[in-house]
Amino acid sequence: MSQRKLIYLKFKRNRLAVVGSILLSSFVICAIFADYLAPYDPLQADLADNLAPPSSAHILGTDELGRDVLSRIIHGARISLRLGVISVGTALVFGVIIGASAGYYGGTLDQVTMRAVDIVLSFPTMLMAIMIVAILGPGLTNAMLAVGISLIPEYTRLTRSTFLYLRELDFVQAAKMVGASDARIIFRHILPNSVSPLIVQSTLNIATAILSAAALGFLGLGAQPPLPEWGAMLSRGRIYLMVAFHVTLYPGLAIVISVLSLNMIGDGLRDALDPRMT
Amino acid sequence: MLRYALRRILMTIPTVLVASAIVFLMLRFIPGDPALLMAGEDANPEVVQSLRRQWGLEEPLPIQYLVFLKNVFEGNFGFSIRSGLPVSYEISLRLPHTILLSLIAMTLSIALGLFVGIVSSTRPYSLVDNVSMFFALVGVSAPVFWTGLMLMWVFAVKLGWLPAVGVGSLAHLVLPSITLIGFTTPVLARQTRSCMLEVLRQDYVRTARSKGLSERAIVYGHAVRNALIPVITVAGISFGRLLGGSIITESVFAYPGIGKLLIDGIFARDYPIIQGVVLVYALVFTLLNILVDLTYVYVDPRIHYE
Amino acid sequence: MTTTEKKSNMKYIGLGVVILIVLVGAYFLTTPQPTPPTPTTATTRTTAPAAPTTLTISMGMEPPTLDPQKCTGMPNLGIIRLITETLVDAHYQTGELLPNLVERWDSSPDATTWTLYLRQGVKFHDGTPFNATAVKFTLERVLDPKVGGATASAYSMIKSIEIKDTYTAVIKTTPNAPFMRLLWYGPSAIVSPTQVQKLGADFAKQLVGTGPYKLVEHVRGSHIKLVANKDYWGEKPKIDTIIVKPITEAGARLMALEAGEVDFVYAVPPADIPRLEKNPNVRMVPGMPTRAMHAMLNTKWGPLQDKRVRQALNYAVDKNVINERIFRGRAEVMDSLINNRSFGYFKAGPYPYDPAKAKQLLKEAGYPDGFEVTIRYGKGRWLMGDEVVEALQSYLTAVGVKAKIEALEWAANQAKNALPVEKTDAQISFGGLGGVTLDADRSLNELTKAAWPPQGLEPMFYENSKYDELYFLARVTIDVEKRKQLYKEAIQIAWEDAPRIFLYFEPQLYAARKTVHDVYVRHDETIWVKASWVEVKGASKAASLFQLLPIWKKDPP
Repeated sequence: MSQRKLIYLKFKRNRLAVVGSILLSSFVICAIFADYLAPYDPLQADLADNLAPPSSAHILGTDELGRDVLSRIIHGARISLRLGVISVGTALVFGVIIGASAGYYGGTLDQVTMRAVDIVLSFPTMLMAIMIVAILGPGLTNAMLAVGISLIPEYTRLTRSTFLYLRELDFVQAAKMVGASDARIIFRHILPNSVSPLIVQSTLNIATAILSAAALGFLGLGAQPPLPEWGAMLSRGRIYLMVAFHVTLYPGLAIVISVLSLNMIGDGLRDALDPRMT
Repeated sequence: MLRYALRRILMTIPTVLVASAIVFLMLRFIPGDPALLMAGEDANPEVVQSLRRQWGLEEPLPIQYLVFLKNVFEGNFGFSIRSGLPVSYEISLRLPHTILLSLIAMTLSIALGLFVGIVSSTRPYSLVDNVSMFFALVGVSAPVFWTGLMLMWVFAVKLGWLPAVGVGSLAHLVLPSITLIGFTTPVLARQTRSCMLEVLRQDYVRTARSKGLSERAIVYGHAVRNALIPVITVAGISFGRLLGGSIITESVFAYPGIGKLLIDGIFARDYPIIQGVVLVYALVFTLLNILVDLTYVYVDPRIHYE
Repeated sequence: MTTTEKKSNMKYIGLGVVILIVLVGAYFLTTPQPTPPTPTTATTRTTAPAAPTTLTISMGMEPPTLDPQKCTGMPNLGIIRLITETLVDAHYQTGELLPNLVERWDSSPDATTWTLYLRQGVKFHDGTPFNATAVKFTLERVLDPKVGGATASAYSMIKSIEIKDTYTAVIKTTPNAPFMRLLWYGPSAIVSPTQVQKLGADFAKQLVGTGPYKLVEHVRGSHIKLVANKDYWGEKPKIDTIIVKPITEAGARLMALEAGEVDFVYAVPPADIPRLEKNPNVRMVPGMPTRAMHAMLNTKWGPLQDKRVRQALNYAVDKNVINERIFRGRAEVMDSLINNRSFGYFKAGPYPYDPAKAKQLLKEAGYPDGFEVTIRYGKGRWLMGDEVVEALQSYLTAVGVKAKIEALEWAANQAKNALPVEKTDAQISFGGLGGVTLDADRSLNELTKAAWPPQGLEPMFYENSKYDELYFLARVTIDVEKRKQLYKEAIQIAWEDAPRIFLYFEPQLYAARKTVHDVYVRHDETIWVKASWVEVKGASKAASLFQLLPIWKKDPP
């Protein structure tokens, strides 16, 4: 049985991972087909009907400006997933390039890179993101940038240690002796083997990115009104905690469930890719 | 060991310096005259001029940085635009609150996380394990501000048992602490469990078992000791999570710590405050990391004999 | 010791350390509670109780400075007026002018000469005697461009202030019938000349005045503490300490009120009123909606230079729905520049909700696809401000004007509003103007060219010479009917020019704990505590003990 098939079967056996996959697929579908799935325009305000509790017309009720909560949550999925993928993607690309160079070439490059990583890591990630937004100003793109930048060190470290480890292995040494160029070694030999920890890490990082961006949105530093970002929705609904609980409850649940599904999948992938677990 | 400790501390000095340089540069990145940014847009021109002199804003950038360092060493972080009071004073008013909250949350969540992690790992895939790991998973996935709001809703609004915002009594600490603990414990529990499982699988554990040692002795004597190293690493990382989470928690509960000061400062465009608080956080975090490294020394026999 | 035992020991030590830290921390952080009184007979009384009482007030923002000539924001001025006093006072219900630091006054029939007979034997908190010198000093300070108060233009009718003798001051003005009302307006609160001369520009940090309360401390971002002035010349204050706490977030403010941490709050969100009315510990304190809330349009910027665009924005917003849904009907839709209780009111509007017309006007003005604009405002000051601005954004976007929101802390926003026309970045600024003097003279002043920031509060930079002409003529007209006619014409011009998006008059909703008696808020949002007293708090406020059991349950909402 091929390696891939083995991994797939192991993953399938993990019930949580499967549930996570199903949940995530629903979110992805919401994100892609938001325009068709959402019953109302998420930005369409109908002030005359604000703070309406869940009803047959509005399944999850309306928010403080009369916008349909369900539609906003569905469109929010698009914002959050897009945000997660882009920030993690950016961090991945930069982090891997830097980490691979440090791990492969070693020496001064490695020392300098690790120092830089240490310095960036001397700020807690959330603080780093807040700092970047404080400089650039609040907004969704800036939040994406901030979250992305705060994730780069992790990828750098991970890639570097993977490369350090793989570099010493026999098949790499063999390729070197045969005279293969560095680029060939990196791209054909090392990189494919370092993919699995990166996949696991990325899945978990998308979850973290969504949480961080939601936190920024909650503080008012991320997505700005009227964008239906889940964190910002929570922050607006906060003063209605006592009279219209649904405005806070549902966006929060959306965050929890989407992040949970990603974490379940990440865990499942980690266990499936672990050669020691049967 | 002392030499190692000293070496470790010395190694962080350049890191701290560069981190402070980043904070210093922060203000220079924002479009606009740094002196006006520090004084407030409608400030008296004399005030602006004196700020220019005090922070050496007319000198080239590297000299500015040295002036900045000198000021910081003297405890002069500038003056808050909002209040006109020294930033160091504003911070000193609120730092105790943050420390208290963070200390409580960290101690309790380390204790709880370790406990749950160890217990779960000794009974893998049992009901206890599955249930606690599921809760840990949910805990890791829930945004800290949402848990905070939900707790506030249940205990302060609906039941009225606890105050929702501010400080003034032990009761005010409960909800923010629980929120923070709920934020950091799951990570620790999960990591402890996976590290412990890793260790318990090892050959020497099997050897110990076959030698007839009690399960308890194995777990506490061998497994925990060896699992501690990666766990301490995670504890160190979760300090960062804790600090970040405390900023948000303080906002949710209007708890007057430096996190709330930072957020208020951002909305007031109070750059001296922003700079000062960020610096404090970076310093505290670095100190915590040093602490973590020193704990390694205590725990890891390999370093012991270096 | 084996490792196992070492670990258990460590656990105990750790636990012990934690408990110790928590106890020590709690001791230092617990605010000292007033010592419980010796038990007395009735809880309701007509004379002040013997034990020291505290009134804690909370509003959504705090004074950026305590200098009465420079501070803006009426609730802030209300706090300042507890320390420094104005020459005349106004009854909190009728608005009728009452003697205060002035015992009586005479005005010449042509309304140009005002003779003030000052109260004798009054001292500032720093011992300086109150007299005509202080009056002259203060009023000159109001007008002094170097001091830079934003209300200078409202007092520009003053020509001179003369000291006739120690306790008589004579003010000469251009003819201005309602002038005495301006001597009640907060920025004219009398400061001690010796203090200002001694301490210079920062004197307000230790502000002294003639008022019933003395300033103890002002910790920015935390609180202001005032203590009763035992040597006050008037009715001795019955409350010993007043603490003012800014809590920006309305929900947090209300929670503090319901928990008993705060006794009186400003700006209660209407959605919470039904719940508060059911709470046995709390009561609503009503006020008069005289504050005009509007979005100021920078008439020198981009598309807003065109009158049609500004009118379009007025047609684009449904003010009735804002009133109904955000304010539960408690606001009043704006139909003029001033509220209908003020002298000079004339019903000019309101602009009906007509998005089709708005789009048509935009098209005529050359913006068929709309344009982009930023709405800026200060947080915490305006009741439901965040919601109204978001609603504005959505109404504007619906007609094609893509609006971005910039939310700043209140003082930062005020600072931006104070920038002159060549430095300003204002496009649309949401804010309000109180109908403080109940007379058109004060409110209509903001639309004159003389009131462009920094001499005024609103970044509209509106320029209409006919309006200015009418306004200044009305100022010097004595004949009541003629004045009304002039104001009518001025209002009509400004209404049509639409330098603002006219929205609503803000409902003044305050709430207090039932232990607080006779606290009122005047229609200018300044707090009135002359006869207020607070019931003594007994053992039920056990806030320093850890409440594990539901000793007292809140009513379910």
